[in-house]
Amino acid sequence: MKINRRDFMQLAGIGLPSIALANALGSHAHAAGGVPVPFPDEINHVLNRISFGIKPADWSDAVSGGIDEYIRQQVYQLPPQDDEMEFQLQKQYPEAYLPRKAMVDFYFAEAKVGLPFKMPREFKPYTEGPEQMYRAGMEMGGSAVGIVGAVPLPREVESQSRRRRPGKALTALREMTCYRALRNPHQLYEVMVEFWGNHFSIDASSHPNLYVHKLLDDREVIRPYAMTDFRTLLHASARSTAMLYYLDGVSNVSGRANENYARELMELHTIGVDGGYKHEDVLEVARCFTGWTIDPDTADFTFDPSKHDDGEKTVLGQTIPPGGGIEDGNRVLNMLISHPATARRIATKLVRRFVSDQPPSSLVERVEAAFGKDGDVKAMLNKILYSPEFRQARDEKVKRPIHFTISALRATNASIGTDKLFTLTYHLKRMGQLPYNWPMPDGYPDEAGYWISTNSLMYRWQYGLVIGKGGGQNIAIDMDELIGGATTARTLVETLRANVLRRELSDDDRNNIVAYAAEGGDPDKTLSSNKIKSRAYVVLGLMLNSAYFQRG
Amino acid sequence: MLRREIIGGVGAVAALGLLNSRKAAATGHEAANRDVLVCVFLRGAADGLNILVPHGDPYYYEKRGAVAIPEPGAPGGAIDIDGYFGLHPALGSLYGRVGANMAFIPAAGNPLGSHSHFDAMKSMEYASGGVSGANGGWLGRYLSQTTPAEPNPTVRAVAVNNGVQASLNVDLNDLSGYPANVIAALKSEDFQLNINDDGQYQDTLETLYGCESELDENSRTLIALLEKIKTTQPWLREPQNGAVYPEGGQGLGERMQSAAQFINAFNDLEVVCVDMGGWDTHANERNRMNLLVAELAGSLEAFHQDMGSDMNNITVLVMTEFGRRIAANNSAGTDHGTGSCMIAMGGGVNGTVHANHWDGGLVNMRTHDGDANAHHGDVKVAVDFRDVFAQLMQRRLGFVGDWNKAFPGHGFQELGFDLFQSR
Repeated sequence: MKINRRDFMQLAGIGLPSIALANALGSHAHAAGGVPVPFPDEINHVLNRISFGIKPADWSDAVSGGIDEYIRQQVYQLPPQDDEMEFQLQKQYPEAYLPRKAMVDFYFAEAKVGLPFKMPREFKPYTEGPEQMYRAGMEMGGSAVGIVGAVPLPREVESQSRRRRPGKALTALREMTCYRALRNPHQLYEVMVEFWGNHFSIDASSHPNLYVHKLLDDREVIRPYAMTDFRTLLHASARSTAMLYYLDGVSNVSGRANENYARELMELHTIGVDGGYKHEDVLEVARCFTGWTIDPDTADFTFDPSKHDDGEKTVLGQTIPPGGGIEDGNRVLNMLISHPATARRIATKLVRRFVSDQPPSSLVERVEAAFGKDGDVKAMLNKILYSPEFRQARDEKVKRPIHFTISALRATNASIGTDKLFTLTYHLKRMGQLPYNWPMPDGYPDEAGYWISTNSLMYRWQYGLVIGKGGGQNIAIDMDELIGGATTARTLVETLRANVLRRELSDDDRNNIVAYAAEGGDPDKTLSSNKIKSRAYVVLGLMLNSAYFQRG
Repeated sequence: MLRREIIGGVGAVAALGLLNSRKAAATGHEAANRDVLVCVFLRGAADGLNILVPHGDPYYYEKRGAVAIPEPGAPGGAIDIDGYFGLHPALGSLYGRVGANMAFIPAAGNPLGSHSHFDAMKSMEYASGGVSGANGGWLGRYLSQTTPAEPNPTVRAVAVNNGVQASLNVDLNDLSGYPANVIAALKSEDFQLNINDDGQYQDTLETLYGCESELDENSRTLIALLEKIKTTQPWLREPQNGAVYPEGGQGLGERMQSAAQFINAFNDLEVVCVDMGGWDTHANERNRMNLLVAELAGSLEAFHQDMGSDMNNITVLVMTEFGRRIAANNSAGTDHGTGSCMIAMGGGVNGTVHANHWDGGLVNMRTHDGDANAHHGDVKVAVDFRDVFAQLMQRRLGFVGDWNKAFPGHGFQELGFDLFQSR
């Protein structure tokens, strides 16, 4: 269900001045009674959208240097990696930093045979058990079809299964992703890594090869080019061993080509389902990419001319002459990059991410122009982040789970050890946004309508409460710093509001929180420091779970 | 202003129903006696030809090669039903139900003919003739046109899912009907706030949400749901009659168990939607389908056992966005096709293979067949999924609303065979 606040208020018949007027007033209606809820100020709004949440240091930088300068540094100046952060990660996950082939060999060295899921003992299939069928099927593999040679899996890997060691690579990647989003000062870069990882979505949980190769995709495709240009990204993604496994390019050979990558390349990665391609174009693009596969000796991309269909092809009305070899695929990629529908689609997705679930077409057009010849990421970001549409779109998005989860830690200046990151992936899984786990190739939705179901909210509220209560043993929050010497329920609420939410509360909401903090007593009574501390945790949980923090 | 009043009065209905409707359900209760509907959506396009296998058809083996399910009697072979159709061997545990209360419909599905997962799923869940969600989903429209089964319901539909499926969306352009009261909930035992302060935290949290957006709406719904779950405790129900659900895999077993718990605990519940992913078998199809079908069969069988005689008042309907190509590709898989098969299970189902529309063999059932190397050729859609939905609504769900609203641009059309018995 796609519905924004404006539409909703009209539907619900809530008497409200136009959004422009509400903006001018600096507030918008809240409860049925029309109690005004103040919008966040510009710094809060901008910082939230271009990061995984506002750390105190971000705030003071933006306040002292100005928000425009802050954006300039994020877009143009900061280095992508933070050395200390990578040092910590490498200590925890040394294998994830091995050279490609060594890494693949390491993670598959101890793979064990076993069904990927557990059937009840009482389950009795009519003929053979699933395990027998699975083994028989694995042995049959493709050999009966005569194509195993085209599937460059190491045979020992293919015949082994399936669970233990390769899974550690994916666990490492997910935890590293959370840690980088939490710690990297170059927040906009991490936001773009998430954006492109989601645009070129790979469900890494779908096969053991992907447990390992998605880590390589992140390391060698997404992260190096997240702030560069779409042309480089698309070409790198087409050669990504993870993408080749995920969309079956690895076994796409001349004769009866595999259409999986060809279709999603057009529908999802570039021109979109309305981009003007026909079913015949899918077949022809699939032929162009025959022979794009993986060399088992290097565990890396290779082009195998013997598997390539070298006949003439016609793609989107253009003839691709015979004998092009690997250039057929390159031509298709370049053709799609130059197609106007691609610029429109990427621009729309970026504006949806940064501005609003209903991307304003005026801004989309300008970002589309900034896409240029190659899809210049920085130019497009620059166009968005200084636009009035962006600056005015306050409270128009709801944080997705990854944003909410990390921002709660950043807002409270919390720290978490590299050995405790499972705490975050555990909660993300419950909220429905475990990284690289979306089951379809279109990537996690970027609209509030999907994310604010009762189920997802339930797990958000549990997480907010966990953080507020100190995160068990795994998350360290300096509560004294957040409380800042408050001695009464009223000053406690005010201090936490200023240090964590960094936005104004409506009078009603403040009064309700203060009453809760005071447990119904006198909010101005001086409380013991133990009492203040015990109330601080739950008040913090309340604030993180409120709409003030869920929006972003 | 707080929880107790919300739950105690009409506030609960208002909170849950604000988005959905304004009409009070207090009068005109039709003493509806209807099935609980459980929709299982196989995401990724399940290969109907390898679920309900036309093993008696040489053309199937000619085009499928080693991706075909072998003939009955061969290792891993199909389980024969009628000499022409048979079941994937992993469906063997359900063999006895065909001929009783489990039906298979080949060449069924989505006449849209799109080969895009996303467009095909949308059009099937919306069931409004295209890919626009402007009229909401078919189940949302069904609920808003139908008097709630119980007066003042808090939950009429559960999406056993992280988000609510598109089929349960209501028509935002027509809020004149009954509240749909849809929630998303994967596991009932997780629906509690771990804080022990006599509801003060929860009450305060509720005040911090207004009623101006979907976020506010869902928050209020969630608060009401927490109260309902606290008193009904669905998770306490253990599987009955020796049922054992599969664990892991695509998660269907856990979700079907959750469905059973919600059906048992919520007597106002009418519709449950469950998803199972993983069906996009472009490569290595035999191996992958062995696992997927085993999980599907194990989950359906466990659910059936668990619900016991309640299955007389439950219909399970299994669907997918489209089927797969008749011919295999060179990756030991199949690419996107058109028609697939649908499965229905329940006390009101005429259990058999409904295949009168299967016109003289697979070669006659082809569509999209223009390509020279015959790597084209889908199974056509001889049974429109909307007509299956319509007979279900008419005969099992007591639908008496406007068919042109139920299926815009299509209305009611006869299915042409008795898939369901009238209640």
